[in-house]
Amino acid sequence: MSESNPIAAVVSPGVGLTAQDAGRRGWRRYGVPESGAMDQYSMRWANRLLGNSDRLPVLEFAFQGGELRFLKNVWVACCGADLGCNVTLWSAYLAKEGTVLRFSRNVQGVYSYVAVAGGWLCDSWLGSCSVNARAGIGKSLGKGDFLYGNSLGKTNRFPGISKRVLLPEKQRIFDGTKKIRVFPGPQFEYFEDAFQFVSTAWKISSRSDRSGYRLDGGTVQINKTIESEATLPGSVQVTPSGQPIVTLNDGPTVGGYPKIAIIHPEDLSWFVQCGPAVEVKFEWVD
Amino acid sequence: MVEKHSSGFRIESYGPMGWLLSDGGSQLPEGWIQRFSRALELDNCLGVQEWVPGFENILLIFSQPIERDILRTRLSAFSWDKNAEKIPDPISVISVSYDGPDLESFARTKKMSVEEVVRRHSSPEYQVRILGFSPGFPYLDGLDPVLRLPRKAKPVSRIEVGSVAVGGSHAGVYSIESPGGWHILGRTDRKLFDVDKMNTGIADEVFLLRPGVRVRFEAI
Repeated sequence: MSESNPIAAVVSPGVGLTAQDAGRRGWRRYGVPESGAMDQYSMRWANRLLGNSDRLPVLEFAFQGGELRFLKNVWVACCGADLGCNVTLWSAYLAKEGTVLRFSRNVQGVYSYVAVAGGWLCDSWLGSCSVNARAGIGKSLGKGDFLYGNSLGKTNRFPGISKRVLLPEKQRIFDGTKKIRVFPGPQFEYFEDAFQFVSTAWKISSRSDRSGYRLDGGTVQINKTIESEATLPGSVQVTPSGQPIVTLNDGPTVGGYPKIAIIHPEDLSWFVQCGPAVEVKFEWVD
Repeated sequence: MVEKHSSGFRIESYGPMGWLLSDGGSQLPEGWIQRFSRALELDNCLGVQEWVPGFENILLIFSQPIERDILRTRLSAFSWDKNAEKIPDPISVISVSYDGPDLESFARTKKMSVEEVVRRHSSPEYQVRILGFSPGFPYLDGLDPVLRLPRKAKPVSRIEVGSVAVGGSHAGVYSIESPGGWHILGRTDRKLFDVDKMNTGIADEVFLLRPGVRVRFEAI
């Protein structure tokens, strides 16, 4: 086994560092959220740049900071938010033993993904390595933790090649204003002025994490209460105070606030990368 | 967007791949959500990817968008008689040490002795309505109405795993350590969620409870 041969070490985890993959599906009715990488698009490309299956485990760095030191030569890719990485985003390269991958500051976006050839070797639960610390499934990574890969990670995956780069038109940037498509939620008709929801330029509150994002910038009127019902990533609940809260990957599987909208699944990977400076505007689809 | 269906279901869309079923007009049998959930466990005749019971509805999640008409056809073939056999569950008995941090203040609020709170909490036969909030956390029906108390306005940041609690009109047990706003009356050593058994893939190994299961609390 590879436990005795780590390929990297965590020098610093930054704000939040967990192993994630495509998620853990099938047990929502037992209260188990799917978890998984918040930005599945960036996760998939980090894997594909290395010739990995889309679904292999990646490291998810949240918002700011983080540093890895490589203990072996290994092909690495980094995709997602611009967190001031010392290596080029949206590309793969052969990291030499002793070198570091470091995120120095948040430039834009929220989540950045680091993959290695062959995938990281991590603990898994029900077929997924996705950590959900909130739900007691796995733990965040910390300073001094060792990281392991498999044999594919240790060979030169692409002999004779120095770099693999994603086409510019497929690379994403996360700034400015973002239009996010939404479907009406199950309690949509009870909202007296649903127009407030699409006319407000929302910002993501700092009181946000993998469980959910709170929206600042306005309020939405609602005078109805409901009994707890299923929530999915992308469900937009509105609290009695009028604040919209978007359930995300680690969020509770049921919730008791009325839902005005459901974010289009294809737009979720954009939504989660909206940093504090980005304005979010929602638009309805049928 | 909403539609009543002849078999008794009200059907609402929930995003592109979800359909929310609720009672369309009191034609559905009592406890229908738990029975529906159990029927899908035995035979996924609707072709769903997943389903999630709520207090008053059940969400069906499909892996592809499916038309309302297709769902309607599949639901019309759903037979309560055939699919909803009541398989009696054994009652889960949960031993509790009634020494929770909120027990005394709860008793005072209720103008009862601690002994009476314990007696009233441990007498009924409860039933699991749904699991949610965290893995394996049960919302239990059957709480003595006299013991109902709204959850705390300001949640506590850390509640011990196994804490036996009351919130609103439900009883519950914290299945993991987490923040929470329910009133903690006691503790149990029973594991409601065993993360180390997840890799068996067998829900019964991981979760002590599931919707429809009956529960009693026993003071130790």
